[in-house]
Amino acid sequence: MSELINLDEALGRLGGNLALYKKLLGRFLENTYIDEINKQLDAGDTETAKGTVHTLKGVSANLSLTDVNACSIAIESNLKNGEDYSDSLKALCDAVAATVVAINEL
Amino acid sequence: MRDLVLIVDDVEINRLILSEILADKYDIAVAADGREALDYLYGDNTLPSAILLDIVMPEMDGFEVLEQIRSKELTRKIPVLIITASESSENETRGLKSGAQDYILKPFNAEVVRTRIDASLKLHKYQHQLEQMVEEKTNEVTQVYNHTLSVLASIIEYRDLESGAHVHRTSLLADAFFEQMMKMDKFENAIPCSQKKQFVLATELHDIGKIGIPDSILLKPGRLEEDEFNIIKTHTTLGGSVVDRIAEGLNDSDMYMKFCKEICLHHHERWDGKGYPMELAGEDIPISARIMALIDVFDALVNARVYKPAFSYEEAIKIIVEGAGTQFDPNLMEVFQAATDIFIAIEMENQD
Repeated sequence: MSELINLDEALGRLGGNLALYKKLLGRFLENTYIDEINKQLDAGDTETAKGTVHTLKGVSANLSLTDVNACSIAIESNLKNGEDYSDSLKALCDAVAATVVAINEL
Repeated sequence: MRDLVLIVDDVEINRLILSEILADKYDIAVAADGREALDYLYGDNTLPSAILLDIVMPEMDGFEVLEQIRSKELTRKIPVLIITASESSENETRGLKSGAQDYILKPFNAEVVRTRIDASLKLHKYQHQLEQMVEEKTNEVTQVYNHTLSVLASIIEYRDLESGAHVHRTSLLADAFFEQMMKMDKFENAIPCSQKKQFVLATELHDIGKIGIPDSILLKPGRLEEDEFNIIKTHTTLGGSVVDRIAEGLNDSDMYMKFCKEICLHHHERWDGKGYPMELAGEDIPISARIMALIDVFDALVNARVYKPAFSYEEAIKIIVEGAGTQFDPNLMEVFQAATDIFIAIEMENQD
């Protein structure tokens, strides 16, 4: 659980406000980062994809979604260096999926 | 009353987190991008006491917004803290160099955010207080300084039996003339409105050079010989030197000393170049001196002097108008004629 969601860290950031954290997680669920990233990469638009990945990286850091954050960093690096990103993309998608489940179980 | 913090970040979750961190102590306003932020700041809204500004935003990035904020008088003093990710230290340096007060790293550490905002606000308030104090002190000093110079100018007048009233009247005439000039739009570039006070004060020193003229000449009741007149003429250049001495080491950011020098040196030049000390002509004569010349002669005409009786107001006005293009700047005549009533009133109320 603590790899996907670092609850202590998140609550520390939000002054112990669990209700707010859940609300913010709800917002996170509403977002379609993975869909957008996939669409952008399929269309060959690595620039926009990089931007979306960057946003996801920041949001996951602020919400203490550790795995998603780590995977975002990895794929961002691939995209920046023009490397093959298929592995890191899959890892990211898996991480997001797992995190969504974990959020719903909170 | 609570301070307002403006949060500018394109990611809603970030805005929510920051609001949450700060809402205990501050009122919050938010903007989702640079455009919204600028619209807020320059619209009719409460100005924030601090701005949290994300760097990576679509369309207008944080640096552009920061540049805008720094370039406008309304907002340039508001402390801006930029939000940046920890791996981009170039953003930090660039931000700080572009005028950001401090930076905040993502992911946010609540304590750090609070402390940094608190500190920025405190510093800002302290600076503001200091600036106000300096302004007050400077005003005090300026007043003392101006007063001293006025008194100095009056003392000169006492020496040649004309009393301080001439100095006082000419500064009132200068004020009235300037006001009339401002009303008649065509003179906007002559002397900016913001410098009226400096110009009017400067007229008080126009004859300060007389201090270097011997009594035997200055107080002579009869006609002056040519060599005596040549000596009197030097009161212009002498006045210029005195002003130079006064101005040494002074910070003349508001043009007062410049006007003093122009007026002392050139208030006896003539539009047709036949004046003294430098026989300047037309627009080579500084506008301040051209105005001074007109006023000085008017006041001399309507008041009795050792060497002549007083003229009537009608005669004096006629003489001035007839001097257009020869002794006086013809463009000033329009202003003079519009101001004659007030000139006469000033003369009547401030007799020797």
